[in-house]
Amino acid sequence: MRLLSITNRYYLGLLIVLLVVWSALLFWVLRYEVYENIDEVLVYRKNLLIDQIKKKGELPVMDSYHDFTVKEINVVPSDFKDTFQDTLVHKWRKSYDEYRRITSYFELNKKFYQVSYTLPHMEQDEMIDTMAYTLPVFLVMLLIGYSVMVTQLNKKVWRPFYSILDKFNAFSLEAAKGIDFDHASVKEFRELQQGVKDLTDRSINSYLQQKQFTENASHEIQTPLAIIQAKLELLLQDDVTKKQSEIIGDVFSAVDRLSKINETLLLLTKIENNQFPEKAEIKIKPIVDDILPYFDEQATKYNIQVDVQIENEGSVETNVTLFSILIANLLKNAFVHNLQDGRIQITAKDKIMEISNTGPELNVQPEKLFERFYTQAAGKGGAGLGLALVKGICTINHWGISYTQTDGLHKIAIDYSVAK
Amino acid sequence: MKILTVEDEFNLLDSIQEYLMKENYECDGASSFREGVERISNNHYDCILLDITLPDGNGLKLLDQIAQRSESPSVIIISAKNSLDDKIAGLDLGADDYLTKPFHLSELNSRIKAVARRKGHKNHKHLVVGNVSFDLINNQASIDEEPINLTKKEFDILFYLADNRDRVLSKSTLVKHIWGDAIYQEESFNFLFSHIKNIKNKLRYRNALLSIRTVYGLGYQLRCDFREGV
Repeated sequence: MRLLSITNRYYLGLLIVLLVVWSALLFWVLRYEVYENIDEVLVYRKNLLIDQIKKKGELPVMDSYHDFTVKEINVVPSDFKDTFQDTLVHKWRKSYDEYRRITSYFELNKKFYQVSYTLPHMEQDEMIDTMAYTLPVFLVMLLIGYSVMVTQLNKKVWRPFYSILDKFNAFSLEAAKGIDFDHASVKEFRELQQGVKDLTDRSINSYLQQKQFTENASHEIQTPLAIIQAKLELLLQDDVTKKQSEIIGDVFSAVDRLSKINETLLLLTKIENNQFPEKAEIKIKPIVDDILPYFDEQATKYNIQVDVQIENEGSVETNVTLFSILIANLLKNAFVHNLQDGRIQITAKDKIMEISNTGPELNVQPEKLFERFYTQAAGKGGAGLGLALVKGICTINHWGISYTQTDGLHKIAIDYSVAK
Repeated sequence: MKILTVEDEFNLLDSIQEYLMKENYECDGASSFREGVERISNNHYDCILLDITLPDGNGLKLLDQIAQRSESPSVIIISAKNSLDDKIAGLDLGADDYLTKPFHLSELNSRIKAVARRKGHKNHKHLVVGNVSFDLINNQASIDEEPINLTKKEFDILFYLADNRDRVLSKSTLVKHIWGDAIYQEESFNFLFSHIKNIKNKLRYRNALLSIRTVYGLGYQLRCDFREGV
């Protein structure tokens, strides 16, 4: 739910409750006022009438034009207090009007009289009707007005916030570009901007430093490695004893492994730095066909059936070098972690490429498999960088990659349909 | 063939020169950009090995100077940088090949020969060692004009050994050369072993005047048993 929806919802709820309470209150107050008003008038008229009767000393003529009745009573009233009464008076066409009647008593020439005075007043129905007509109009106008105002106001007030949010969302550490905010006039937003800016700048900084470190370290390691390798090569041209040659051989392969790890780390850094910008439309099949022969020995030795089903693959727009590295590493992975009389299936269809192979069961979380230096198969000689490389290549191309294991079949699927 | 090596790391420069001198190349060395410029303007070289990260200048600029000369030598860039950008920049500016440090000297030697062959410096479209000749266009090796039945990998191994004949090549050099960085793995060494075994058999069967010696624990060496004029 959006921030503005929450505030709007609460404001509207409050408004409706307030309006209902206020309507009820208004109704009661109005009714009270009407009664008080009519009762005052009735008391005044009654007193005026009694005064006139007493002054004249005789009863007035009563006919239907008058609103009062005066009649003599035989029983002495217990007190002379006024009593008020609501009454309905039949008018015409079956319609009744609400009237208010005052009943009072007075004494004249030792005789007691009862006087009642009746006046129409504003009715409850009419009041409710009036309110029922006017209030909703008022309410609707208020709500519309309120919504429009609040929406506009909120939009204006929260605009810097959403701008910050948008920029924060668009922020990518890999792009290593800081966020530039427009000046916000609200203090809190300025503080938020500053906070976000500090945080992202610091992240970029440490990201760049870390990347720079990897790159520098790898570069610096390369030259000494080159020297060691060259010296070893010179050394083995000399006549060496069997024992010495064995030692040199071991050193040689250790240096090789070291330089390979170094090279791969450097390659990973370069990939992450997006230093392979050249792209071309390429087809998967020729690349797979090119690389497969390099694994002939494996296929023969372990009797591995390789099944390539690539049809309607479409083309991939990517860097050729990186794509070849990707395929080579995936195939190597499929061959190295296979079984005697195993199987490898390579399919590409509808912009999804899948490489599956038979292999010993793996107890591994799929995400871990693509981490650097993750390796489970001891003695295979891999440093656990091949799949990290694959993952890195997929990431910069915005491709999806997934690993699944079913019935001893390991499958890595790459979804390269994502439009760049 | 005269070769100039421009490399600021003295140890490496030394090793490269030592290895190349054994191939009977005439070798000069330069350990800075300035020295490199001097050497290039005063001498004619057939091939220049160029490190592009020099303390006093970018080796890529040297390429410009080299390209301006009337008879431009072949250039092989040797660099610790393996970014494709540099690779492409270097090749665009007229470099013939690119080797990333660390590299094997035998690989460098092979590349020098390949570049020379491509440029047609000598009659090197074919390589003849003893009574074995290598046809590089058809990837076909023959003994006394009779083709030998070698697989693609066997041919590559034998040719690489022949290109670096009399040198001891480590197993890892061969493995890297044949399978490449991305593909080779522990098992490749076993496969290399069986390929070599097959090659040896084929050579022996056909009385080739070549032999592959196994240097225990280390690698292999191709020797020519045929001496001209003897």
